[in-house]
Amino acid sequence: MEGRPLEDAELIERTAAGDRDAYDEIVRRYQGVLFRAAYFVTRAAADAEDATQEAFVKAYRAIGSFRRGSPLKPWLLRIVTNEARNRVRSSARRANLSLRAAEDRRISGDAAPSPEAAALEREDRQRLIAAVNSLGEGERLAVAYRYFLGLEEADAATALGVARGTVKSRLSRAMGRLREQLAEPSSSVPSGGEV
Amino acid sequence: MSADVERRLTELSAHLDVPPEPDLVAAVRERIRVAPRRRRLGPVVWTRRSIALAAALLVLASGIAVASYLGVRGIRIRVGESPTASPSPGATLDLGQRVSLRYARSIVRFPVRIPAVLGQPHDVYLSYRILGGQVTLAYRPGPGLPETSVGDVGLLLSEFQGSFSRSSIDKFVGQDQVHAVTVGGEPGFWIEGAHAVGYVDSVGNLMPDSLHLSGSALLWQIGSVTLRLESALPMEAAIRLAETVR
Repeated sequence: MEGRPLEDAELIERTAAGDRDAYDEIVRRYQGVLFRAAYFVTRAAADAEDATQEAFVKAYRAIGSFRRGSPLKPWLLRIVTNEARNRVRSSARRANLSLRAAEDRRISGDAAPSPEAAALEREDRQRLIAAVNSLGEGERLAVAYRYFLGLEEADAATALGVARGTVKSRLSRAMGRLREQLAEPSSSVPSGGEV
Repeated sequence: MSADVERRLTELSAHLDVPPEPDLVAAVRERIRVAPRRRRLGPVVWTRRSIALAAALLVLASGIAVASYLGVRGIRIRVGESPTASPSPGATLDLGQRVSLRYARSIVRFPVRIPAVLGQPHDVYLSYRILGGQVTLAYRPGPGLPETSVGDVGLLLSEFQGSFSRSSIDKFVGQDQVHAVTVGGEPGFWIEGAHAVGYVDSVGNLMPDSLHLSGSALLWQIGSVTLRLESALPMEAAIRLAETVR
């Protein structure tokens, strides 16, 4: 019989009762999404990793006050988002979001789409990512949490510490700006994107 | 159109250059152990280097004890080793955390199946990019399993809760690259030379996912679980192998 995973609620109860192994499981389960969120905020891997570690330490300390029955992920994301924001304020080096360079290697000699089509796809993505990079922080993070982390609006709002309506209006404004930028001739969009 | 931008943003998420997720379990545990409860530890005190140093010292001090202490539920944590110290099939492919099969099975809510003809995988990876988690089994090349474009990988089998359809596939793959096939009586697709496919996750979101090898992929479903087999095997051989998955 395969072991069934414990529910988050059970892991929280066990952690609150002093079971460190239970908290290890929470860390394993959520470190990926928390790190990714922190990276979208800080855009620096070392800061994102440090923010994620600190967020898990703070969440551990606060687990007794966690409201039972609430979803764990948005709560953890809220903590890591705050930690990540603190690190943005304390450091100046920020990269733009960019495309994975490794993709080019996956396109083998006989692979379709053709090299021309693949280059066009890549150019489309470059334009989109440059447009995302050009958004203000509020809109950019709303887009990143909603589409790159795949969060529902309500969870994105919890994670970002704003009202759901705020996320909704930021997304709506962001969509308008992205559409405008993508409709412009490609030469007017900086290829690397600029914040 | 807004829906088009939303679709493109969702698709873009699979192509973003995000650093691989670190394994933080040991570092967090240590940080909780040593951090005074009320004092906030800033990043200056606990840099990545000092965490790594502390972890390495722990390993040096008591290798066996630490290994058993960290090896909770079978997860393999290799504190203090460089990523190249123990080559592992698929280690360079951004497949997620390397874990034990037992651990992967304890985390995801679907049964993780293995190809009976290949037996136990050489390595198992767990990622959370797809809702509910994705488990990828990696096999080295061997008799009957040719090398792929990634030398130390002969076959990858990825499993997750979700589905796919002709329309979710067609968003990322040219029509001439997709062939409808049957795997153990169930419909599937044989995809040639593509570099991403689209799934519908368990709550209905269209999720793009990169293919890892530049060969071919076989997609099929067992119940609510989608399986994807990537290898350099020809179609018929891949289907025969897939039919031994249980």
